[in-house]
Amino acid sequence: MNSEINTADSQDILLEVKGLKTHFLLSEGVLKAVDGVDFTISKGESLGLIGESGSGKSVTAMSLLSLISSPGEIVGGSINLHYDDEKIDITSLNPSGKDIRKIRGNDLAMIFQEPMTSLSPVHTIGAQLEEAIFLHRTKNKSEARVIAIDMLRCAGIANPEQRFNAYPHQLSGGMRQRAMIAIALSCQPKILIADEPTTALDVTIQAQILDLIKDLQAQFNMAVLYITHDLGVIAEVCDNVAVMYLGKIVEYGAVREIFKNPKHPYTISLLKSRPRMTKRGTERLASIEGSIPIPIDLPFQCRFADRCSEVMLGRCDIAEPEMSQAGNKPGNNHWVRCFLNEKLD
Amino acid sequence: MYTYIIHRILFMIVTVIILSILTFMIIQLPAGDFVTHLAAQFARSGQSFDQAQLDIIREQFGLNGTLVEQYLAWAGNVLQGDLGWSFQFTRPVSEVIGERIGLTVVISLSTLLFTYLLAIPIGVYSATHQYSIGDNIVMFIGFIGLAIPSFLLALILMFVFLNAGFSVGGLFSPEYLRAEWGPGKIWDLMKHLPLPIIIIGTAGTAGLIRVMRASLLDEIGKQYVITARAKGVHETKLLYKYPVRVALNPIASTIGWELPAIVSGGIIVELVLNLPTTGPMLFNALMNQDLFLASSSLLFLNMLTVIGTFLSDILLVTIDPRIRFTEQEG
Repeated sequence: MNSEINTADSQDILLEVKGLKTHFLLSEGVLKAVDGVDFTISKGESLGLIGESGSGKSVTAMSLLSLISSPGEIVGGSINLHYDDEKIDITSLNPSGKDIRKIRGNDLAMIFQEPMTSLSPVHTIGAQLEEAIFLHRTKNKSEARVIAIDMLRCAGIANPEQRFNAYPHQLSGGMRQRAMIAIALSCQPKILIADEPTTALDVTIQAQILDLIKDLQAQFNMAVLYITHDLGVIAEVCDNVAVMYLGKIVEYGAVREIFKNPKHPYTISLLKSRPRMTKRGTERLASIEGSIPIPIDLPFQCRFADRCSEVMLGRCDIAEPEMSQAGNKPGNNHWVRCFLNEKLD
Repeated sequence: MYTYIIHRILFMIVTVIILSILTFMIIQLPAGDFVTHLAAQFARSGQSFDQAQLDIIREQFGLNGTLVEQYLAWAGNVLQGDLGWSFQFTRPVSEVIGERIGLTVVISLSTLLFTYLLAIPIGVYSATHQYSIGDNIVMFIGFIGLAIPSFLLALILMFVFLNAGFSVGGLFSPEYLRAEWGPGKIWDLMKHLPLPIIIIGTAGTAGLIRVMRASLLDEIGKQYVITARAKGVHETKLLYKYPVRVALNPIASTIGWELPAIVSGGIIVELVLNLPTTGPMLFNALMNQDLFLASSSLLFLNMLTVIGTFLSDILLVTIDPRIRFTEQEG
């Protein structure tokens, strides 16, 4: 495995995921949604996890907080959360136990895709915000209220005192996502996991929300893991990006490097399939042939082989590639899981 | 909100008036009236009677007028607090209903309590342990509870209880039947209550378990539950604070409908068990064309239905802020 994937100093590492496997035991077979994922997140870093629907990126995010519910299960690997003097392996904690509850919302917080459904319809924004504060920061009522209103203000909500008593349905989608962000950040987490934070929003609101997360990230000095299928989001806010395909990371590197010099055929086609303004505007959008398979009973071969335009028969269809460093420069933090890259060695 | 309540109350009054006209007409639909019924009874028992006597009775109770006249006369009396005369019991309707209503409410309220206290926790258990052995057992028993007609259950349980040495039927042992109220009589009532409560409540409990289970299963996987879990909320607290709270809405929205049921009770079961409640009274009033007793008790039930629905709506508005909002908009 690639423990050296991230070159950051080991003291700066906040979260270290190694060989994470999250499987769903279905009657049709074992669905290997996440099947050996490694990455690290350092202090203040923005990491993007990108992939199409069904690549396992959301399951990866949920696994980090041990939020996988039956029939899903984390079956292997480790998720080490680093503290000043110790490490806690989240996979070793009871998913409904006291220890994981201390981490959720406190060290690792999460915001979700659908601000419509991610807030309780029958509780006020304030009550939902204070809940996390009561759990992790203070038991004092008036103090919690001050923190809560302050958080709403930080999240760019006008008239926070009034919004405090509003119900989610009384707010617009963008406002709700701001409230969600306020909740997630209310306990000043070390890492914010943003699972498609802008997918359900208008494009203009999307940019505002991304800017807000970016500002707050600097203000609170936290790391952010963006889960997205939107390359635009990655380009705008991430330092590093991990491209996920069918439960595995297939390419990892700095955003600039990946956009300029993608190595994996999947990454290359992803970048090609972005809509672009052309002169005539009549070009068809490039797309990747086929669709992502359901990861049950996968053959032992490169997971992208069936859809790959560069597939090498006799190589890609008989073995699975490992992560290897791209380019010849030592210390180049760009990794790719492809036999084409290994061939260059 | 207040204009909404006033609107609703005005509509309720109109609804009750329309309902009272309809029920009065339907009760009058069968050919003949109580007097013909009486004449038939006299004839059967061989007693002599003459037509003039019957006409006098008809005249006395205004049974000779047209339907409209009869309705107006009755409605006028009801508005003045006079519910009319029961032919069957030869006593004022208010007395007949009055002496039964107390026990009916006792039985119905305890049944309601039994139903909710049993069904909601079991429904929550069933939903949180979906497809487990416990859930399957609960669902199996629930289906049986729904499928067995309650009068059959009444007969079976009466048989079982009787063989176990309990006194069954009625709400009092013979020695307390005519006794004054006292600790002994109350204790006797308590001993007689479980059987009718179980019998009347079983079907409702089984149905409610299914409603609770289904509506909780709908909520339990929702995103806001995961959000709360991601905040680090304790699982039990999480369950009751979020999905159970929301899942109770369909139950709260029907709780008002129980209000008329509290008074009418389970008629067939009460007949089988020989309970001194209003259900069998209404049944007999309809059978014997006891016009004023039937109309007045049905009017009472109609009012309770309308008020119950109103209370449900108010309750729903209180517990679900989304509804509050739509109403203010609309």
